[in-house]
Amino acid sequence: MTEPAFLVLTALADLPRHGYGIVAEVDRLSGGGVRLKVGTLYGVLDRLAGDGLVELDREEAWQGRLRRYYRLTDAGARALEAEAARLAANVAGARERLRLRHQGGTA
Amino acid sequence: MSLLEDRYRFVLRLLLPASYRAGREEEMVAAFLDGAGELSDRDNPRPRASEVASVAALAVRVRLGSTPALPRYHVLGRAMRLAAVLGLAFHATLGGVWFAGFLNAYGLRDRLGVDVPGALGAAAYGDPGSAARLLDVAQGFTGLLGAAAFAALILGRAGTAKVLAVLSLVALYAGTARTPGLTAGEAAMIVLSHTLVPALPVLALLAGFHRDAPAPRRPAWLAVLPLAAAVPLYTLLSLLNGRAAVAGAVERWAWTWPWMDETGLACLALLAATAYALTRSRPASVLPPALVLLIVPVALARAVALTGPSAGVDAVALTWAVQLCGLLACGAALLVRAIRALPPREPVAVPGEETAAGR
Repeated sequence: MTEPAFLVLTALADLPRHGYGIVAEVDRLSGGGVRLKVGTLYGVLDRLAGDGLVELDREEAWQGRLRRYYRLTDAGARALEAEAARLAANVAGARERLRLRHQGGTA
Repeated sequence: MSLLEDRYRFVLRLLLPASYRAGREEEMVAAFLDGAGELSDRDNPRPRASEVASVAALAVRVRLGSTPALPRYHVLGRAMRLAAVLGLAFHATLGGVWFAGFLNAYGLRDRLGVDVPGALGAAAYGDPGSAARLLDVAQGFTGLLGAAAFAALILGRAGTAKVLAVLSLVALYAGTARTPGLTAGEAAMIVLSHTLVPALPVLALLAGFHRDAPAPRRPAWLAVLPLAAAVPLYTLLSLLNGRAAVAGAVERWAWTWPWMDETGLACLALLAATAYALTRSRPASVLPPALVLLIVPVALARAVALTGPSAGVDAVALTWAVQLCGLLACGAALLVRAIRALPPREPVAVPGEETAAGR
């Protein structure tokens, strides 16, 4: 799973969001590190929807503009959980190696 | 409509297919304008280059689609990927033939005790130990880059395949540039031929196997098929070359020359593949459009050869003309087949729209 796809799924984990809402949430989640362009966002949404990980929740008109809200599916939640567990294992492995390195340096 | 909205819609109209825009344009515009903030027309605002680039990348993925959401573009994407696989297989085989010629030039024939009259393979360049010899050896091994690119693609490593395929193209140009005794016109002709024929599969590989495209699922043994096929092809070409080189037989065998170069062999392969596609492929097969893509550069290369300086033998020009006519006829027949098999145009389905509407 790519980083943008992971962050989009994470952004939709708590509540449905529309296009710019996802962009803003991904920006916040990544601490400003990932700023999705609109073309990139819809490429990711197409791919996630094709895999059944997100789906349309509702449509709203806001200031004359169409807003489509997307939500995480059950399959999307499972995929996000699996990816989060994988990344957490990687982080734990890295921390363990760094801990050993620091111990070796101070011994 | 603000100036910025108008310009963003222009970018979408310019790059994205109408069927995709029918489902997505309004929400893409809304998302873009929400993120753009309050900008006045007096500021002459334009979408940033990065936004335009993201739409361009989306357009490539949509037009060479990997999902059936847009059936026409799905077919085009599959055809482009098949063209990349077939084209790379052909050039991997030729690379194997060149590598066999390289081995021949460096005395493998003598060591194996095999003597093929007229065996292909230019003599080694430079003195032993010299920089020219080192460059020649390095150039010889680049013949395997195409085979490595094809193998990587078959084994599902599209990224590696792209790097190797681009390197093999660069090596082709480098080889042309250092070939001695070429006039500027001949060098330009060879470079053009190299641009037209081998570059298309590489472009198809770069564009078709984008991030959303499925990795090819082919049996692993296919990875070495081009190199295996290169051995009998090298032997056959060497035998033909030897036959044509016999004193007094040059004129009589001149018609075989246009079938023995890169474009001629591509022509032969495409004529055979077209016969197969027109007689045996299923109606929904993407083989016909893939072959159309591959025929275009080969036909152009032959047209360039026909308009260039004469080879001095009528049989050669006549064979070139026959090849060009054959390619055009095959291309037209395949194009008709491909257009008839195209699915109807449909707007993109917004994911989950039906379920949302039904609630």
